Amino acid sequence: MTWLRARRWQLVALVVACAAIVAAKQYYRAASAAELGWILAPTARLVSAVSGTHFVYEAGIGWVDREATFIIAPACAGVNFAIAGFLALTLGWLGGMTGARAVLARLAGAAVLAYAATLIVNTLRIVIAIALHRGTIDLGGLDRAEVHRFEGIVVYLAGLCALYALAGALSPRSRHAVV
Amino acid sequence: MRLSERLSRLRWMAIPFAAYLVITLGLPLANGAAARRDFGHHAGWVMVGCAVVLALAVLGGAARDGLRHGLSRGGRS
Repeated sequence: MTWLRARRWQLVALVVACAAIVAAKQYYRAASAAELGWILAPTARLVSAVSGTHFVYEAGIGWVDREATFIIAPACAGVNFAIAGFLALTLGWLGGMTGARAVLARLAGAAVLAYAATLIVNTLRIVIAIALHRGTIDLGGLDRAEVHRFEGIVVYLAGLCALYALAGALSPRSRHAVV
Repeated sequence: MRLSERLSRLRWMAIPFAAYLVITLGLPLANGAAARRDFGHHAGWVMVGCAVVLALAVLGGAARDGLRHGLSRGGRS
């Protein structure tokens, strides 16, 4: 009972985070390109700036560069990475969630950081994918779809570890699990 | 440094790895993705990706230690 009372705000944070994650997953399942514009549009702009491509919005499809024959579709939004980042940061910052204000501040911080990290990591992933697609990176006889899938997994996972380590380094007093 | 020591220094990676696995495999499994034909294939790639990132982290740590060791020896000579 004392244990529960001592950790009640952490349990509240976990319940709120889990509810947000399930809701985000449900939303992402059925979301169109237009509905995901809040994450796809800045990603397409960043990818265009970094790779020298010109992605433009096409209703019902997503952001398209016909010259590069590449589409940034809803499946490329990186929402799963954002959700995983939010979950990792919430778990890492759980130790510092000792009151209502601390829970709100850390959950909001986790959401903002996860969103910013998604834009950066997903841009990197798509820029590499475009290079693979254009043949700038030689794949030899490997299956392009499988390489694209594997590249996504490695970039996302490494990006998630980097985000978690960075968040730990930036908040030494939050009793982040990295420390 | 032994491999077990290197791995124990990377214990912090358990949380981001767990978060990734929960989102990419756990929740889809809870939603019945196991029935999909390509899910096993996807899960296999996710596991290979985890192994590759872990191996890169171990190699990166070893390279960093080697560099530090070399620099400290170079500084003394």
